[in-house]
Amino acid sequence: MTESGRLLVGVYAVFAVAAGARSIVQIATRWHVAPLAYLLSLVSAVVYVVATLALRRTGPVARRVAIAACTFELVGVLAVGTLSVTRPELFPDQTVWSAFGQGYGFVPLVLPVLGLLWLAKVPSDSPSSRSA
Amino acid sequence: MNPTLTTAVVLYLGLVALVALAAAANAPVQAAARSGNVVGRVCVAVVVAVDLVSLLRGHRPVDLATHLGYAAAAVALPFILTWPGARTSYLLIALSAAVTAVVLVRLGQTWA
Repeated sequence: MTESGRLLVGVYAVFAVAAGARSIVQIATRWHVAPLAYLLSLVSAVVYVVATLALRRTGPVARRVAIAACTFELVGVLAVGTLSVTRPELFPDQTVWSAFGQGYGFVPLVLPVLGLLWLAKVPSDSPSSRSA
Repeated sequence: MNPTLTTAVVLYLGLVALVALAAAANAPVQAAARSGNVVGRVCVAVVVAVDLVSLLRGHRPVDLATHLGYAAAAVALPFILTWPGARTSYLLIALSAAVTAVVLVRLGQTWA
């Protein structure tokens, strides 16, 4: 795997931990306050974990899973970001994807784009290039 | 929680991140980046251990669950980022040190 690939996977791992820890704490201590927001935090955490593991692995199946995870993540951050701005009453508390990831420096918005660009750059017929 | 110790470790981790970035740019400081990373992990473990001892002695932060989350993340993140068996890059060491420094700052902020 290239240096840029390792860095991308590293940033994904950071967000997997950040979103996972955040959702666990929110669900365990404040579930009744904003169940939709906390459920979305959990979903985003699961997607980050799946993307991290898929990007680390080689082969066509891992590649498809990584593309699906990054796409889901991009759609999620755009949908939740738009809803959190236009219908803020739906989200009494923040999620990782609220306001397009503003609370995390908009990295959640940029990350899936970078992930998809990186996957597009790596040839699909040579999985060994991701482990080189 | 010891604010002075935490601040010193945060500054040290910032230095490790800079050295690791220099190593990634092929400056001849690779050994310093690797050893600095190991020392940084030990320092973080000490900060978290001091924090846990203070908690066991009865201190209660306003949001205990969040505080414990940051304590766990501070210890776990470097190991997750430098996956066992994987070849670690200097960029990842820099990322690990920078993120761990931020987590330690948040750990200190949630102490009160």
